Amino acid sequence: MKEIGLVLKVNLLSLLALPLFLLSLIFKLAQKALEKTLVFIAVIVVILALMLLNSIFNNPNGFLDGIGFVFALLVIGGAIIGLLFMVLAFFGTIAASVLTVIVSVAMSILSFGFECCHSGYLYLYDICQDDIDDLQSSDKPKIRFACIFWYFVYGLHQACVFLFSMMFPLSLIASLVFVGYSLFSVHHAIQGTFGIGIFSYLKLFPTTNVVFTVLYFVLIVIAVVVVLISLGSEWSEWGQTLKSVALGTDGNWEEFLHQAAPADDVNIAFSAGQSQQHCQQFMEILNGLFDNCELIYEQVVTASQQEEDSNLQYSFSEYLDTLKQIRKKLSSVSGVMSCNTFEKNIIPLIQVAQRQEKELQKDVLHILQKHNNAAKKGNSELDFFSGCTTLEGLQSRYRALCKIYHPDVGGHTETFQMLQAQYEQRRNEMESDTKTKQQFDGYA
Amino acid sequence: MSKIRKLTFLLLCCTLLISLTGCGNCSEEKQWGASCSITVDGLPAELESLPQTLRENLYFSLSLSGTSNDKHYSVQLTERNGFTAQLYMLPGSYSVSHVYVRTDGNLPIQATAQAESIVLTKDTDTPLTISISNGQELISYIQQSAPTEEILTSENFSRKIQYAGTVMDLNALGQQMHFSTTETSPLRPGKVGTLVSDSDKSVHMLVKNTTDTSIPIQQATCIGFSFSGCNAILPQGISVGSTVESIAHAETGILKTPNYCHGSPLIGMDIDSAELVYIDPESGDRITCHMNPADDFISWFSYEFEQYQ
Repeated sequence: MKEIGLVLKVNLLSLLALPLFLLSLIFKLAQKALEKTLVFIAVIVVILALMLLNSIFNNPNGFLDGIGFVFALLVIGGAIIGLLFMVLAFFGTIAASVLTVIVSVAMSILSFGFECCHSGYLYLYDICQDDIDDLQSSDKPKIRFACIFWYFVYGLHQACVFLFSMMFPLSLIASLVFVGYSLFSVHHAIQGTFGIGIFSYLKLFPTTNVVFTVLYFVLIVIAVVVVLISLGSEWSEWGQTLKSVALGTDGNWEEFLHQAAPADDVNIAFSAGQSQQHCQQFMEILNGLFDNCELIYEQVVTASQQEEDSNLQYSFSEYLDTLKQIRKKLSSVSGVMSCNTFEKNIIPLIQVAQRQEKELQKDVLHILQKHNNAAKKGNSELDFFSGCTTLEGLQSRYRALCKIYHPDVGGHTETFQMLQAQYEQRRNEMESDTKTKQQFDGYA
Repeated sequence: MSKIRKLTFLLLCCTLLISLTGCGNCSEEKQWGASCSITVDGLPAELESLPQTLRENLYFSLSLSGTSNDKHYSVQLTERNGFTAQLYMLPGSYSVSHVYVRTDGNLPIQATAQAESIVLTKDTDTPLTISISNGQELISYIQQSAPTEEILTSENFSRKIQYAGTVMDLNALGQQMHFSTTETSPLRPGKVGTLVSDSDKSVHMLVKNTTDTSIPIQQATCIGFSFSGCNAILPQGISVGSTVESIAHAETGILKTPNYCHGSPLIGMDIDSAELVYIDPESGDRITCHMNPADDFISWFSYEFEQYQ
């Protein structure tokens, strides 16, 4: 009965999650469309300004005549013209302010709508996923297939994740295609009409007009490329968030960390054979990975405090997921495991986790170095221990950062010295605070 | 989820439902079945012999303003819609505006609506005809705009032009037509001015002050002529409405690649006008083909002499 109740619950919640997901998609689309429209409006304004500049370049006398005419008008009209300009400026300012307010309000509404729908969807998705896990571990695991709406939402979610994660490379390809097609179509149009190449055609016109025409073209192409790439990057960022949801971490790493890494070393006996030593070696590597897990977590937290990098967060979620899978497979084995099974099922995952760990450390180092260099330029230092409030936290962070900055592991000596100095200073401060507190408690 | 989020979600769902169901029939006009079929009557078959660019740019515009309601409808009849349109309107009486005709190539088309007002009733289609009031004049103008064998076989810089069906020498055009101007201010030294033909506003004489002092425009030296009507044809059939490709293509064009150009390279993009300039290496005479910012065909052309004889 309990299983049937869960199936009904999952189906009902999935049905509710679906419109929320679709609505969040609509809000996101509208938000992006508005943002990008503003970019194109700005491009149009710049092109209009360039066109005006072009006409001034083409007919400077006419422009000067125009200036002279305006000057004459000012002299004749005097205060009336001045007043007119003031009124125009006044209404122009009001119009600009009203437009800014309208755009800001529209953006806020869309952003709020997206946040509501998206967080609602994630909330329901999490519940459904937990319930599906419960059903899977129940006495009748096959009953979970009765959650048809859940599998529909899950499929849609995965399809969107796949599509969004492809957005960045797709946007790069689209940009290249757009630039190539633009050049080709211009060449094709000129070839079709004049029967000559682009350069021969442009040579026929005055240099000023050619320069401005090339500027218009470059400006439009750059605007489209920037819009395409930024859209690709933003959608793929959202894809990463959805991917994390699918992995089940969704930024809640601490809980996931405990699920992924066991508190003590895992000891599994292998059946005797030629590969026993090989398996034992990988078992040691695995225990090393489990030991390092918390250090990696500290490193990722340090980097995330400097910069919210969705790629890094997703990579860490993926890394935890790999460890979780290994742990799950090991926990299903009791006592002795055959080397063949270990080699077939566990070793490939250990190799993946090893690679992911290396990649993560590289990414963390890259982010920290970037911010350290930026801090140096501003004559300051990167705070490696921001957010550490306890002595344990401080020590844990120090150990984690030593893993990437220590000269023995190929770290940078100068940065390591800076890290050490910061650690010593912060530890002394914390220890003296603790002593003062103890003394105060004693007096009290 | 917080209460605010739940409430917002509920509101969003309601908005979605209302927008899906509530806006099913947005066109309030169509439900009355009252329509007005507007057609242009009397367009001569000879129109087909004009360049396609000129036919495509021929517009008849008309507006209908409600006298029993505050509605205002306008319609544009072009070759694309076959010079007919059906407008769904609210039943009532409407006053018919003056018919506006937009043409290129100075086509002499006069059109009038056959009714000054119409009354539309429910579920009825009311016809409204726009008739061409100078059909014969238009036919004769179009017939005179067809290039003759003589002009088609003439040399490009032979100073010949077919005007109103007759091939004539550009040198003699100043004597054959009378040109005048309303401009009263004198022409400064080195400047170019224009005089307009009294008999045809589409023909202009280009004059230049070749002296060192400012002189009245009528005393300036004739340096060429410009034409904006399709009844003027240069040798090999260059006329108003000719496409850029037919003139300037390096292999198939009549005049081939221009010597140089003025204006914007973005021809027809509505940014700036463009001019293709051809110079005869022997006589030094110059043909300029002008295109309006939004067009990729000739809207007027000029023939300037290196030496006026």
